[in-house]
Amino acid sequence: MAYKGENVLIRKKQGGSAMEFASGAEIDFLAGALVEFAGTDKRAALAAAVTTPTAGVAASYKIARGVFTPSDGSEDVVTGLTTVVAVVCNLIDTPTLTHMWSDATIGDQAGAPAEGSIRVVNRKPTTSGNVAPIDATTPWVDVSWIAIGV
Amino acid sequence: MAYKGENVLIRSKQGGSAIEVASGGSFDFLAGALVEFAGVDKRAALAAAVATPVAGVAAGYKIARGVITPTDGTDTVVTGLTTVVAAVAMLVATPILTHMWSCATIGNQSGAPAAGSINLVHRGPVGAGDVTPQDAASTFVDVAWIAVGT
Repeated sequence: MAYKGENVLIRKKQGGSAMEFASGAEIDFLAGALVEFAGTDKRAALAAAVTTPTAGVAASYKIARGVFTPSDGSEDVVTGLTTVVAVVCNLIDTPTLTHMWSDATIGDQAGAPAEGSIRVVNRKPTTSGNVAPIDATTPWVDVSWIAIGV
Repeated sequence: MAYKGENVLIRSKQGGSAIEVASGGSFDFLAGALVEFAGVDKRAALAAAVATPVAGVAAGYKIARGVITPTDGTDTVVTGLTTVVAAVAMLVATPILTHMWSCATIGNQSGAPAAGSINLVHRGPVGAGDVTPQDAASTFVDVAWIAVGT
């Protein structure tokens, strides 16, 4: 169905199902005006979204993060994401002879670890004079992780 | 006050205080049409915000990043965020005996370090034959960090 008033810049489709804004048209939400979606005002959300937004190279990325105290040489952490596509981690304090390294992997996201989880591997040197890595042991250093997923 | 034309998809409230778009209705901003908030065109910002935006599992997350050349066993870095909720760091080149590990911590965000800052901890082994960590010393390796916050 055609638009009414094709010679105006803002025109409503006959039947009222659509509005069209032609080049040069303006819609200006003055201070105090609401921008609602299904009855919910989205002004704050829109303002936040357009303040230096971060984009993913693919759609729908989310970020999750956390800190935990390890208890084993390898452990799985539930991130809150549905599927994890990338993760990094680091110790949050001085490495020690009982816990010198931690790294994180997303694994196969299908059981090793479960989808939405990450696997954090914690290691220490065999001794101060033998740097061959083995499973870390207590006392532990807390581990901080940041995960990206959907 | 009721909306006029309840049987159409786009209807104006009597008195002109609101426009309601029912399911199936649409706004089409043709090339050159402006979308302004208080007189400021937001087309570019809105387009950027909806181009594969990254969301947090909680609201309001922002990302900051940087690279520093350490100067001490612990450096405090101002991230530009108001409050940091997670941070990770790594060396950007080969670890060496004077600087083998770096890690990031958000601390308490209320003085140790200040809100919006992170602490980067740098360590090196006591010697080639003793991997016990101690404060790193010059020569330092540059350290890259990524922080998430608000």
